[in-house]
Amino acid sequence: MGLHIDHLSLASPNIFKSADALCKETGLGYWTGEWIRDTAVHIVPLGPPGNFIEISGFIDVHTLKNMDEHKQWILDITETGDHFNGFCLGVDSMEELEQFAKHWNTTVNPFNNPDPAAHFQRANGYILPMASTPSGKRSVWMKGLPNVYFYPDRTHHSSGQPTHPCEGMVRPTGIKWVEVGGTEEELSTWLGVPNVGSVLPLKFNGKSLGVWAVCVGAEEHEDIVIRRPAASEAVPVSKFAD
Amino acid sequence: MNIKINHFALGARNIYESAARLRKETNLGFWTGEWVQTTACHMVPLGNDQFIEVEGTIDAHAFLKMPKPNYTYDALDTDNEYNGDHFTGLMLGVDTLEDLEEIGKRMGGGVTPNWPEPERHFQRPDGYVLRYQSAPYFEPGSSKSRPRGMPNFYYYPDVPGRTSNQPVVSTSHLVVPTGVKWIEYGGTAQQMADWLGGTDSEAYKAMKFNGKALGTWAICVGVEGGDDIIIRRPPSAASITDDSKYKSAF
Repeated sequence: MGLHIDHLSLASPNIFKSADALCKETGLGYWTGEWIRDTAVHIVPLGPPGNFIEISGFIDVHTLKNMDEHKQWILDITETGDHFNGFCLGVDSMEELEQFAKHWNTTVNPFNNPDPAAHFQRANGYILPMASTPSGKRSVWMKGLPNVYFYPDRTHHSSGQPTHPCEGMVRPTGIKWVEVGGTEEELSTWLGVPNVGSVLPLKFNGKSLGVWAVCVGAEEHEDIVIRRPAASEAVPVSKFAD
Repeated sequence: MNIKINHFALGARNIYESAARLRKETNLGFWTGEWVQTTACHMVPLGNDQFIEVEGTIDAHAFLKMPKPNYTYDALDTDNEYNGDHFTGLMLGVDTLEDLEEIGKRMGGGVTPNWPEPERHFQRPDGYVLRYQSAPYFEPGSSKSRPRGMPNFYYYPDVPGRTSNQPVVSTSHLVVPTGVKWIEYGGTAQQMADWLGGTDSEAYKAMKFNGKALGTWAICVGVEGGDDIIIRRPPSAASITDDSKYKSAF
């Protein structure tokens, strides 16, 4: 596939309510039980070639006793409801991922970190191996920028797991386009990929950086457009310019 | 009237971590996805229509706005060898609404209305709304409340939809539980007999009393072809020794 859209993160004040509301709004099912540290995700598969939305939020309020910049950001962007807070691209090999790390003058978060707490875990005990870049203390999501992932085990990719059944369920056929803030030039510069709009199915709205909408095809159904504000609308990326 | 042990609430800081740890300890499976308002549960069926709900707050904003001090939060915030897990409730079950009403009346109250709003009930990802009524119920604003640490009573009209009867997430080494054999509870036999209105119920007969703070201290679960499992966690009252600053029963 080369560089592709892998998933979108939708930050939520209550992932149970948000997933239920999205399901009722769109007919898109979701599955439950995946978590990492103080955060859990409800996963909404979007169809082939393997895309999904992760509806993410705190499931451990005791974590707020030890506040940090990232937790405060999550709280701030969910104060007024759901916001798209992560644009997650994918590549097919570690070599490609390392090329991106090199471009950003950084390293790769390895997929084989022996600490289970460093990975998403599922209710059946599966630990999801996942590598990403850039690494660093502050997530590039806070600046409205995408990061890049490589999954060595595609058979367990989040997009391919069965969902709970729900009423009026549709069968998604994949992402048709994603609307993002900023310009094509800005994103091309960040990724080091010229004319990124011809590589990825993107629409640029010129607003603040981040994801603003995703259009998903569905079998025997009109296209589904899921529109939520980007996190940068709630917390400007300029806050993280230092 | 037969009063049975229906379920236990096991409060957790992180229900995902707590349920996974309980499974590692016991090989009891769980299922995920049930929630009510700002609380979600991972459900651990125990056999015999009984279960543990591993429950926790999953809405950080709602939590920040909750009145403080918060009894349950403060109990869970107390460190122990179970990452703060505490038994936060024992729920008994009856077979009919009439039985429930009789209990509510005996306690000077009534039963919760069958709230029409789905959001007042547990909901599941498939859209199922779990209807139940409980007792004792005291009208908001009345001066009465259930004594903290004593069990309340439930009636579930939909037996196939019961939480205990849903399939768990498949994984290796799971055991098949056959129901609660006994529980260890705080307080005295007399306290519980007075609360239940007698000593002839199935629930009472399954209780051992340790004289400590009120609440569940341990559960013994039978297993098909295996040794009994004993799940031991302290009740909230073990960690909140002075509850005078907390208003609500929870």
